[in-house]
Amino acid sequence: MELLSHLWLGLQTSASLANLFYCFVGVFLGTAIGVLPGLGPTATIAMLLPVTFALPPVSALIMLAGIYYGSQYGGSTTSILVNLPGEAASVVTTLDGYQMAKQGRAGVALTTSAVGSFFAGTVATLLIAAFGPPLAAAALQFGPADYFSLMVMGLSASVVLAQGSLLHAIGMVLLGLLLGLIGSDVNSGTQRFTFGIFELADGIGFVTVAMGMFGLGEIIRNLENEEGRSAVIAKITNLWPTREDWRRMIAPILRGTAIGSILGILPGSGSILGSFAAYSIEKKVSNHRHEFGKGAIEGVAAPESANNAGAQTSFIPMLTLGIPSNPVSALMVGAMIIHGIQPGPSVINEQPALFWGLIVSMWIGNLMLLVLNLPLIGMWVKMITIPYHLLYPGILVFCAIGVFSLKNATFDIHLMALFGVLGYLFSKLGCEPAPMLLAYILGPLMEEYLRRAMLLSRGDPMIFLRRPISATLLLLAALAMLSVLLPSFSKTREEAFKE
Amino acid sequence: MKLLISSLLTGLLLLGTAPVGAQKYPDKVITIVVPFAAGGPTDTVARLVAAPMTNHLKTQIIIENVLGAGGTIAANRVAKAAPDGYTLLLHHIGMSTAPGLYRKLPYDAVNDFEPIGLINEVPMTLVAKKDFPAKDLKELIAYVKANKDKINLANAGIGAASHLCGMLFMSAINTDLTTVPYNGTAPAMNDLLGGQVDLLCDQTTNTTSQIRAEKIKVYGVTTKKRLASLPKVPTMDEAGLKGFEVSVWHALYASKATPKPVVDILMKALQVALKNATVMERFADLGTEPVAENRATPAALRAHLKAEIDKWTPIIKKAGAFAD
Amino acid sequence: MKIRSLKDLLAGLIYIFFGVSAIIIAGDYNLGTAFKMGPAYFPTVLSWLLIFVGSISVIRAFITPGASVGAISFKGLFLVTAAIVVFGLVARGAGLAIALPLQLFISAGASVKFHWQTTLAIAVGLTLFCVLVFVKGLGIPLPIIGSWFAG
Repeated sequence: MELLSHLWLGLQTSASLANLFYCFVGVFLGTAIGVLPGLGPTATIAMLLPVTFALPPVSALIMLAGIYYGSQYGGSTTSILVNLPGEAASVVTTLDGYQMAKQGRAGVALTTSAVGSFFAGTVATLLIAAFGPPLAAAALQFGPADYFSLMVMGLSASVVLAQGSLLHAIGMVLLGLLLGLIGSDVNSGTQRFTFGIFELADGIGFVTVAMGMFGLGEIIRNLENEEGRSAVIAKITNLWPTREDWRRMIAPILRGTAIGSILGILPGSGSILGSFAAYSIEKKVSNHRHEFGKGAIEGVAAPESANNAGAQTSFIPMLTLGIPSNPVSALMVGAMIIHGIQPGPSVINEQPALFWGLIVSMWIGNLMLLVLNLPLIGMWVKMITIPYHLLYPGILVFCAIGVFSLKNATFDIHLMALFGVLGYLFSKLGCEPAPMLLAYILGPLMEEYLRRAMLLSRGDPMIFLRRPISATLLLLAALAMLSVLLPSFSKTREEAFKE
Repeated sequence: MKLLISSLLTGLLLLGTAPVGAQKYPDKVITIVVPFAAGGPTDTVARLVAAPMTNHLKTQIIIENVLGAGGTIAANRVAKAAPDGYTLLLHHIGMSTAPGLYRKLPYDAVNDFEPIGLINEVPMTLVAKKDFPAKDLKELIAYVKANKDKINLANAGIGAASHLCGMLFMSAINTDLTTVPYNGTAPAMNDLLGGQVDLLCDQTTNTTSQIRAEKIKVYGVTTKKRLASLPKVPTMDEAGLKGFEVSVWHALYASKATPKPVVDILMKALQVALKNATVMERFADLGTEPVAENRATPAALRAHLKAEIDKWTPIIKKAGAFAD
Repeated sequence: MKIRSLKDLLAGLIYIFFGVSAIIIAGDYNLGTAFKMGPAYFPTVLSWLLIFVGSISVIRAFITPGASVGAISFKGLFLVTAAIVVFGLVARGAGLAIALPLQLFISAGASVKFHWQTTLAIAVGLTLFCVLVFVKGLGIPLPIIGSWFAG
């Protein structure tokens, strides 16, 4: 039972009083910045990096990791309460989470998210501990062609996200892919679609687009017929999930955890696709299909579990190979170097206390998050009972400062305003933003992988069918599209839309 | 620019002090602008050096990561900053390659800055995927020439150190390979580990731990002498590519027309920092070492920058690479 | 020909607009080959697909009836956007102490329930909170009082 002795070593390291303290500081800060729209973990960790220099390396990494998954937790709160996804993964949470909040079930949605995240975090932590290195090796087998096909599959599935017209879902996906290409082209360095504007050279930040399309768009929509409604939020029916709610969330949490854990291991794109994929699959298999987009508890449970599971397993490449798979783990690699630890495959053998301590601390951190967040739910729910005309100007302030903080650029504030107008316009035309946002993130990656795959195959497109992983994924994508295109299915979609 | 003025003014307000430039330098917070992400190799160098500089100057130094466009956005900000020594730039070799890569550079890399001094030179390594057939550099060159249509040479994007080293390698062996650009070192290394690409030439910062763990093959280091961190690895020169030398150097700059006394104070602080024990230790971990004191000077940096611009511009032009 | 779905028509036209613009702009970039794709390759393919989808949407607009676009809240649209834009314009120069209340008042004005007294109270509280949390706590480089007033 080598694993047990490793976990015991990790427990000894992470359960020291000092490390428990730093873990708590990390998850607390993470939750706080996650709740504030726009402020992401990357900016916060970058700002806090110098503070960690004074700490022992294990404590520093435990705290930084805590900020990361803590912010994933906190991020769902704003998605559910005010329709503001602070990061890619919580876009899907807005679809049903915000609807639940509108029906007065914000407490239930938040509890579902917390419980699902905790369960997923626990499973993912165990997965890292037991199978970290082999999983990382397996992920290395994914070549550019496979990644491209994975994204094709993700986008086909995302069409299912939309409530309304299939045609517009496809249109929005294409538009999102196109908008995502704004900025410098990786392969040639060409500035594309930047109109000579310096600030656009590195593209438009995802948060800028998401806050504009979702946050601002929703606020403007709510101002439409203010007179007709006394309050946007319905009366709060129940704070905690009912027995029926608990029953309905179990299977989605399990499926979400599995999907999120697996996709999270793939660097770059995996953790983004996790929550989208989990939601799409849930919508396909659920008995409550018609409730999706109108406040289905499954639509919160599955993506939230997937999101948190992916956040944990995305540490696998960094821990076992020394290769950061997202900006946050890149910062942690930097922190390791500054502390005199060479990140790489040897960390697991040379620094066992650090390796296992960090892993066990992730589980402890998740437990802390649960304990920290459940009592807060009552407070969050009270917050949205503030009359809307007092609430929304404040939300706008947080959006503006949050977007500014990403690159310290006022230009992004104006861009957000532009996307707010676009978001409102599209919502009036029945074009939903969720598929567009997924495509927006995937656009540049998809192109990169496509071009890389074609470079490696010397221009032979058959590479996508010759590689077994890629071929399987493309087949799944084709099936997903077909199931949507089949007339019977599209009829039920239309009906669902009309009612 | 506006940010700079306002943040400087805020700094003044917070300290509640007298007008600009009155007392002795430094009397307020110094900002070092780093053109790359926090946690990356350049940022690490900046943070390591800033700590002892802070102690020496007895004033706080903050690192501001200004990302984008291969570092030119950050350089441009410092070029246009007030010449008071409170806004500095810490940049790497990209300072000398930007004039070749960018046809519309909004600043002059030589004349818009006051050089302060060189910091260090990070060696590079030529590495290949684990099951690459060649045993040593000579075999590698022969193999690459014989199979040039099949070989894939990865790099971390236009203007990255690995891109420059790759161009230099191809020009040294007189063979054009298919170059596969990545968005940063991490994904490139990922695909090299997975065997999706064949070759990569990158900084020791990124390759040492993988080499030691024998996850990739190494064919040479790009320095004059062998490295203490990788003693068994021959230099490219020893292994058969005479005169193949390239390293990623970091240096510190102030904006143009910063008064000489201020530049001298900063130079002194940099030199003190480079002798700091922690800095030397961490640099050694990264496979690099601080430059000698006589190179951490404005004159040496100015000469080095000009020489590097002259070295890289023709290579970049020949390869037809542009970043804009 | 009768327009049966204004939504489909407008959405389709927007797709076509974006597609056509992107193709025109990408005309300046190198197209490349399937082996070595240039920067124009992928966007051009996407744009044609987008134009195709847009065309179907436009055609469908004349065949299948759809829901109406509904009332547009011009006041909300204008004031919310204006509040954000004004904040962006004055945040650096005037500082948070001015920009924040300004943004709050403009955006709050979009509501029918606007009361200047309550908004003023919120403005004071929120400005204090933001200065403490964002500027002092997180070190976001926005001035409290901007350069316009610091002379």
